[in-house]
This record gives sequence, structure tokens and C-alpha cells, in this order.
Amino acid sequence: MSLLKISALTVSGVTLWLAPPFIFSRKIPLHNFMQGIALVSGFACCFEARKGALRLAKTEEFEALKDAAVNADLVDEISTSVYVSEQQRRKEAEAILAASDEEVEAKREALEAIYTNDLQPEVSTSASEKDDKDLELWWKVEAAKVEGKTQTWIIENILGKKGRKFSEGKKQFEELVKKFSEGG
Amino acid sequence: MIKAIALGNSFLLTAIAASFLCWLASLHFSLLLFVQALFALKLIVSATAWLLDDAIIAILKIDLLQFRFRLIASTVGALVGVGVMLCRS
Repeated sequence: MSLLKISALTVSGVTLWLAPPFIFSRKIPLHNFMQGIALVSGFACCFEARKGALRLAKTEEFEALKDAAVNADLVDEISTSVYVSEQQRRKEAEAILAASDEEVEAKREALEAIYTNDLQPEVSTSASEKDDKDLELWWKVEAAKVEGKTQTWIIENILGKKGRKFSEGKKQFEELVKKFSEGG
Repeated sequence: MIKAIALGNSFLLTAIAASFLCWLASLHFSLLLFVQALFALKLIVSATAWLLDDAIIAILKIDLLQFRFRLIASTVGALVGVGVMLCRS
């Protein structure tokens, strides 16, 4: 039962209780009987509204309890995983402390290698920049090919290798074709 | 909010029931005597419950404050219900 229905029933109950005694005049036939009927109806409306409100309150309480249980479960899970990882790290640290100097040195070198690899994003960035540049050039070359331009025109105008640099341009053109035609 | 509505409806139920009893009393003289007896009984029961509150809250397993609130609310509700019927045109 929704809040709207409960409110409507409450308002109806109040109206049926208060309106008849003050509105019904003695001129209306069976006014006393109608008043009794209105009172019984008002009582029924309020009874139903109270029942619905209690049910809704119970449902809300249950939902709140469910949310609290889910949150508690989540917090418990997180704390457990934190505890487990902490224990694992402690064990690793103890193992390192217990190991011989040679093993420690080997592990240090391994870690150094890992961190050295991690600290080379600039190289990969520059490589990816080159790839982007090549791809852009390849799109221009493809567009020129579709337009029916010759290889010489492409080398001279798109790759910008004229005169003595023509052979270098030709090599670059072949590299582009090799790189992107084979790659798909 | 919902609990407040439920409480309000409990109050209204008491008031409407009292009004209904007043309406019944207005129908016949013997019914008037019956309703008067009912209200007197209610008064006696309420007063006794107020005096024996410690024993009753142990049986009903509710809070003392809640018990007193219910007693007062039911009495006020009954008075309002009777008042409405007495003030009618």
C-alpha cells in the first residue's frame, strides 16, 4: 500500500467522522442513520490506513536492516582482505630477512629490473607517437591512391621527399606499405 | 513519517469509536445508559492501569513512557470523540 493511498484513507476517515455531525441537518431524511453509516465508514477507513501504515513501516524497517547487513558484510570482507594481504606481506618480509645475502641480492636485482621497465613510459610514448604519425601519413597515402595519384607524386608531395631525398622517400613509402598493408 | 501516520490513525480510531458510541447513545435511552457505563468502565480501567503501570508493562513488555503515552492518547481521543458529538448542530 502506497503512502498516497494511506493518506487518502486517513483524510477520508477524518472527513467521514467530522463532516456528517456538522453538515447534516435534520431536514435530510434518515440523517441520523446516515450519520451512523458515515461514522462506521470513517472508522473502517482509519482502520485500513493504520494497518497499511504499519505494514509499510515494517517493510521500510526490513529494507533498512537489509542495507545495514549488506554494508556490514562489505566492511567485514574488506577488513578480512586487508588482514590477509598484510599477513602475506609480513610473511614475505620475514622470508626476505631470513634469506641469505645472495638471495636478497637476486631479489633486489629482480625488483630493480621491474622498476626500470616501469620507468620507461617515455620510450613507448615516443614509439606510439611515431606510429600515430605513420598512420596519419598512411591515410594520406591511401587517399592519394584512391584518387589515382602515382607513387612518385605521393613520395614527392605527401612524404615531402624530392630530389636527392627521393630514394629515402621511396624507402619510407615501402616501409609504410609493408607496415600497414600487412597489419591489416 | 509512516509511524506518525499510524499513530495518528490510532488516535482517530479511538475518537471515531467514541463518537460512534455517542451516536448509539443518542438513539435510545437504554443505549445511553449502556454507553455511560462503558465510558465509566473505560475510566476505571485507565485509572487502574495508571496505578498498576509497573505490573502491566512487565506483562505487555513495553516501555513505561510508551504505555503512559498510549493511556493518555486513548483518553484524549475518547474525550475528543465525545466532544465532537456534543458540539454537533
